[in-house]
Amino acid sequence: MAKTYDYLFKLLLIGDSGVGKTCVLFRFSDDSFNNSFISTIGIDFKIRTIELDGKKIKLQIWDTAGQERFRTITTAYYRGAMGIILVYDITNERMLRKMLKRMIIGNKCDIEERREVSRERGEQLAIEYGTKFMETSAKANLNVDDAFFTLARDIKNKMEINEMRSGGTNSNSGRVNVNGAGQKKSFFSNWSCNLL
Amino acid sequence: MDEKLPEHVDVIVLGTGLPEAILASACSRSGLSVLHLDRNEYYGAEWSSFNLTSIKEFLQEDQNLPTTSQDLLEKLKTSPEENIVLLGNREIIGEKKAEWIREEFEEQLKDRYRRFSIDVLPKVLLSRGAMVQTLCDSQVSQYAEFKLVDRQLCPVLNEGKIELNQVPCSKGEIFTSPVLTMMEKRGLMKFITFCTQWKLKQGEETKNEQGKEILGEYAEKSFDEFLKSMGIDETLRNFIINTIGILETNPNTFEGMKACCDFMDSVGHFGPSPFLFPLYGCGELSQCFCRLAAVFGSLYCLGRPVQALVYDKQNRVCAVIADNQRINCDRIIMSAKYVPEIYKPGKSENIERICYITDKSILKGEKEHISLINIASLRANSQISRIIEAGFEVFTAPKGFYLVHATGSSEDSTSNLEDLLLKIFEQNEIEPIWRLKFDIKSLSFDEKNIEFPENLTISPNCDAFIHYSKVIDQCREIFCGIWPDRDFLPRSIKKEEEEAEEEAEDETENIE
Repeated sequence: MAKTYDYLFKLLLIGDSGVGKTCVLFRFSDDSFNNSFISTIGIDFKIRTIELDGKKIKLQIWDTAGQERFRTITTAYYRGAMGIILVYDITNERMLRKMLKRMIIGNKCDIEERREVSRERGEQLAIEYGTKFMETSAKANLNVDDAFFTLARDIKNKMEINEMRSGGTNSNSGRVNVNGAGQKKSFFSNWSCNLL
Repeated sequence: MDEKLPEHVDVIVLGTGLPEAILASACSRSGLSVLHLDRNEYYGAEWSSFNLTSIKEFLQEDQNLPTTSQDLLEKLKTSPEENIVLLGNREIIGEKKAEWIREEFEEQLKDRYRRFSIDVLPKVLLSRGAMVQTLCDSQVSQYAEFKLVDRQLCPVLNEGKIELNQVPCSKGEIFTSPVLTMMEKRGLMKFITFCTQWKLKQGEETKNEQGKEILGEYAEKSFDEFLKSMGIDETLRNFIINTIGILETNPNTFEGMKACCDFMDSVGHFGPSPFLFPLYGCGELSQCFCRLAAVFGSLYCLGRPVQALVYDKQNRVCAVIADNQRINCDRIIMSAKYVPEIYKPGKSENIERICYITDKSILKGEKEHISLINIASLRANSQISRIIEAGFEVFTAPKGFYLVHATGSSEDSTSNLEDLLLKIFEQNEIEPIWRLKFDIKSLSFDEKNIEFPENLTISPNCDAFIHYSKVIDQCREIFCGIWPDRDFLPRSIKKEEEEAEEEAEDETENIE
């Protein structure tokens, strides 16, 4: 089958149970929103192909499969991830204490009256970790697309710089590096194969 | 801990080793509610991989052992007719020992400890084997990546030295191989043609009788004798037997022919070699199946002190007690580790395991290889002896380092597995850096003679086989035995729809 895209990016959503990761995901991929809270079942990842500077980019956004609840995320989830979006709930302070790098988005920014985490607080954290920051609402469809596009653009730029350096010592640039094991096999591989 | 476990599920699975993970995923995939527990803080139990930091957890004594007072457990009974049966904590891995041989590396490697991925039970996947088939069907394959085992070496004793010769697998490799003479190559091609024809005539695998008939009186005789009868000379005979020996040791003619066909069937499927190795190590596989289980709603909890079973008056398991909480269930599946001490295991087999970190390959090549060596021919009385060497190519070691895994069944006391390995090291001027040694016990329970509760299932144990077909077959058998009306890890229908959608989208785009 001919490739229908120029790049494939694997992105992760990380955040506490109930912050709205799946809602963000559905808003972005299907442009839909479901108000009732159901812990995620049956969703592996969602796909949306976007276009940036004339390049087709297939975004494969993985969901945690509910495994954040007891902190039992499998390696299968984060292997090969190229970008992470950290989602927290602006109406819930607790979440912010566990932080990761990459991009931070504060979800549920439509519920201003229940805000516990100030915008400034989120921004500051993002600066501390050298990541981008955005407040979103999956419900009111605020900034969700923006968040993914920004992340995709960052990865694409980074990748193109790496490509220009022509495949030499790439990939250890911290950003792609999840848990110290993020080399992309596509750079080295000769016989690497996906079973499909 | 933060959240409580559910009060009732259909199936509770104890242990997150590969067989348990496969069974848990099959259950939740078919719509059963599953709670999957492990006492360890990590996934995979005896099927896990560790880096040089987390290997400490492996070397430690067991964690999260229940410190249970019987009184407390008794309180969790819902009726006086129930019985509390304490779960076991059987020793599967024994004689664990790790040491630095070149001590300077302990400090030098410190910043790269996490780049190692040391398999407890290293295996390979047969390209056309049951495991690959299941991975594809269940789409667990999208969670893992693989590379070909791109070098198979055959050891030959020559004046006391162990020579490692490369085994040619594909047609092209056979023609260019310096190991075989022209005559031998012709003989080999002739034999391969014979195998292909035999397989065709044999038809479906289930009809073994036909295949045996063709082989006639040789079917049950030794494969070597049969090859001799075909006029194949000794070098080539050894070559054939050694090559397929990795699948079947000391086969009779029928087994030998089957192994040859399996081997040839897998050659060329993904590339010249019939074997695949998972990136980041074999421990990934159990986690991949756990991910599938989780996607279909299975609940995961690691590091839980799992304490006891509750039997009802019909002698059925009706609940599990973990962390002083009672969880009712209709069915329990557990690894041998958790089987209550009241049941006595049958004869257990020992698997001998040694792993070395080296900074040089056992056979220098132009590029880095993933190598597989069948050393059974050097240990006459041993069923299984093999070496797998892999490193940065599959991300199981940092650049420039290798993990050399030796695995053997330890019925042979005359030739020590480690001595052989050290001999190979010495001849190739390799100074190993770090060493890990342990035993794995394959506990088995005679389910015919022990009266287990009818809804208690013991999952397949650790085996020393080179590939995963047996594990998959056993899991399928167990699953279909319990739930004959359910499919074992069928292909996802929803996904196909999505694919179709995508393709349709692509097409419209193309039209535009």
